[in-house]
Amino acid sequence: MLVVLLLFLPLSGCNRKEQTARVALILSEGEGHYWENIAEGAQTAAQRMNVQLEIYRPDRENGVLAEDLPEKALEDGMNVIIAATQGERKITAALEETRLPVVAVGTELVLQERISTVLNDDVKMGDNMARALGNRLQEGDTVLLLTDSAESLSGETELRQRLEQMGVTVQGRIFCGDSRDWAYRQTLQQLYLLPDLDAIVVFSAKATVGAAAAVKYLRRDVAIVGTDVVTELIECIEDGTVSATIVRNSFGMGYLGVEYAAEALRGNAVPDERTLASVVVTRDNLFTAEIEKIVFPYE
Amino acid sequence: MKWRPSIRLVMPLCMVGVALMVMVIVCVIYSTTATTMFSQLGMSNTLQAMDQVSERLSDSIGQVKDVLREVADGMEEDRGRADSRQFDSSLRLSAGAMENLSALLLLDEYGNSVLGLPSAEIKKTCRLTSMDWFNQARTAGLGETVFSRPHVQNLYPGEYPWVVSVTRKVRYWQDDLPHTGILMADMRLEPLEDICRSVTLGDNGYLYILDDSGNIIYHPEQKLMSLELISEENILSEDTQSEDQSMVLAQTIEGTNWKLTASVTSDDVAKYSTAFISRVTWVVIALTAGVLLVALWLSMRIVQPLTDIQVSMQRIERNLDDNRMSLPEEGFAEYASLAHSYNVMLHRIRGLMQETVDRQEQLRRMEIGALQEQINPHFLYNTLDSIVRVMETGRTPEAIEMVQALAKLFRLSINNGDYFLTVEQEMDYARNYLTIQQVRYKKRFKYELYMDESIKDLPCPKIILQPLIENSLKHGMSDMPGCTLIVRARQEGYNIVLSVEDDGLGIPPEKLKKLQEMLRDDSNIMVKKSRYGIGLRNTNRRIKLLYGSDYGLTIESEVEERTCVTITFPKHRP
Repeated sequence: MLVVLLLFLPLSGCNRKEQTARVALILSEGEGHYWENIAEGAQTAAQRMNVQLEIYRPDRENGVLAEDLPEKALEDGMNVIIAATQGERKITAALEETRLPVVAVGTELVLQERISTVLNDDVKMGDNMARALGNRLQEGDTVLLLTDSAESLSGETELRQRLEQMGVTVQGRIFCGDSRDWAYRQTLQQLYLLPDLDAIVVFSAKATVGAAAAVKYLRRDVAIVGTDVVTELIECIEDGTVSATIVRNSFGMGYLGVEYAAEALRGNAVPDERTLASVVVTRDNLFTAEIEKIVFPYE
Repeated sequence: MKWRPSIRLVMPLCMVGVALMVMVIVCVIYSTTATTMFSQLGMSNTLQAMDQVSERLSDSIGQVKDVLREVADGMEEDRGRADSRQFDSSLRLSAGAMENLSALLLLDEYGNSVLGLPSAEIKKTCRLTSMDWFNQARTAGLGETVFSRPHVQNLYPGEYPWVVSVTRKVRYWQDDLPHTGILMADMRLEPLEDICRSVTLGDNGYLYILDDSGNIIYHPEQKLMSLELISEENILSEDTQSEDQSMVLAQTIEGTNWKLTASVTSDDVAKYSTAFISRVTWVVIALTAGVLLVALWLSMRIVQPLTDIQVSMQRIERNLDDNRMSLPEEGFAEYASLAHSYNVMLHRIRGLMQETVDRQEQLRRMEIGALQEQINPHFLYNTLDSIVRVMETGRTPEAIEMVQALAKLFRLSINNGDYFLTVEQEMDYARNYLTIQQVRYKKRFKYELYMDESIKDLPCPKIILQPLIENSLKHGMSDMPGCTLIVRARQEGYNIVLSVEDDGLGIPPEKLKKLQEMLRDDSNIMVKKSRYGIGLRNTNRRIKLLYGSDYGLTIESEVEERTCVTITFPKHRP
């Protein structure tokens, strides 16, 4: 009996190896700078938090839609889902059906099993966009919106409200994904169609570059305000083609999504909602210490 | 039977208990010492690693500074040669420095490029005069080396490297005119990162570099910190600060105003100690298990023979009469000796038991013998025949006396079945016997009886005098008329002494000697038959059986003079 006790004694003192949590990151879009940043942030956090991360993306060519992904995550034995969506109703319903705990990223989701929500500060983002245009526009001017989603985008509602307050008219809302070429073609077309267009607001980084190239090509005096940042966009800001870009902390959203999911699985308290601020990047502040570290994150 | 702890249980427990106690004490002492020692070792290792990294960083930064100095000195000494060849020759002097640099520029005071490596054209959108590093250098003294904060350099199209701009205000010659300019080297951060990553500080420890303003030059989690996803308190002091679970150590990198900072957890510092304690714990467990096994084996070895002995003893206890049963005399010497002693004791017990049985048998036979003596038909026939002859001769009083004596003889011999008479009764028995025999022997002898009054009521084995009297009459006085036979009963100390003495023929010395030896020898309790003195021998045996070998008969005799047989036995009943 003593032998048995002695054998079990050290075992009782040993920390049992914690079972690795399995976390699913569901992205409602297959590609795009914003989504890639979220995925990168999530991967970084997963490595630091020692959780197993699986990223699920829609694959429309093979018929895998975003709303199919929650069930797939459930079948794969995931413990928690991080849903980076734009609030699509079908995905919300699919998430509800899995009954898995969910951390909503980027958009508020009404779910019973919601652990936490990590959001971009949309109000401030819309406000920042309007402010960035403010110097270039006056009452009666017109604005074109280039979006990467059919759904209402982060900050779009707030922007429209501000523009309305400024007496600026939104001439149209064009979908061009997060594609430079697509945005270039769409912008060229719209610039021909709208000769009096005063400004363009683009909701994705690469599309902003495309829009800037079109404006530069036609040598039109059209103010451009973009979203997020890629290297080409920085050059556009430097040469003044793009007045400003609103940089969201999408990396941080992915990172915090995984962190909260891991903490919740370990039984620790997590904030119900966390809002990350976006920053306005202009030619004047691009190389300031504060903006540099956001625009050129050290890899 | 009341439960008692067995050796089999107590011995291993005691051994393990003692072993555990000793090992735990040793472990505690060793662990305490080891923890301190290993903590110091861990700290020492950390400081040593920091020294190495600091030295390499200093060398790396020193190369950049050397390049600036070489170029500056060259331009100072060799007027008008502020050209790209000057740069190249200076860079060659500092082998490997180019790996650390992303750009080397000579700028005039207005931010215009004079010379540059790479020679690509600086972007038109680049406004150098608005750069912090340019303004820092412009306000510095001539020849002074200034380090900028880490920043993104945007000199060339499509390139946005993170660098630290190292600048030096220099004098150069252009068109034979002296100018003051800024010599700038963009030092890439990757080499510094590689140096910092080249050492590991435990599982969780890491190194980072801060400048004198607290700006992070390098941090392994720089991106997360930039995005404010994690934070770390900037430590600018060189003192060691202990926090809850981590320690921060900082030291200045030589030749700069940067601090190399190490963040190490106490677990990492003490990891050798933890590993040591863990190993020691396992050793203790293994040793305890070993001691337990040895103790169990030893107790088995010790206890098993005892158990065998116990079982054997119980079996022998149940079958004590079985002479074939004994303990095996094997195993340890102590057990063999114990078994031997037990077997000897067993043998003696069995001997004593047998002796007791034999003694009882002897007594029974003696008793039967005594009874047979009382009703000896020859004696009775002879006596009755004598009575008849006496009566035929008209000696009626003698006949009456004989009949009365015979009657008393019988009464005393029966005595309610008691084996003992009083001394007085025994003397009466002798008197009656002598009365009968005197008639039979026609009064050819005389007899006298003497008895101490003090012993008349003391117990005496019955009919012990009669065989001696008969013996004396038959052998001592048979052919000698006028002999006297004296029977005495007296006390000597705690003993009663009865004697039968006659003044008859006496016993020849050889025969006397044999008789004396026969009576003296204890072993003759179980004696073999002898031709001599059967009556004496039987009486002697009876006394010895009843009272032990210290008592019995003695015989003295002188030829033609006298013979005296003495019986000695204690006053109390056996």
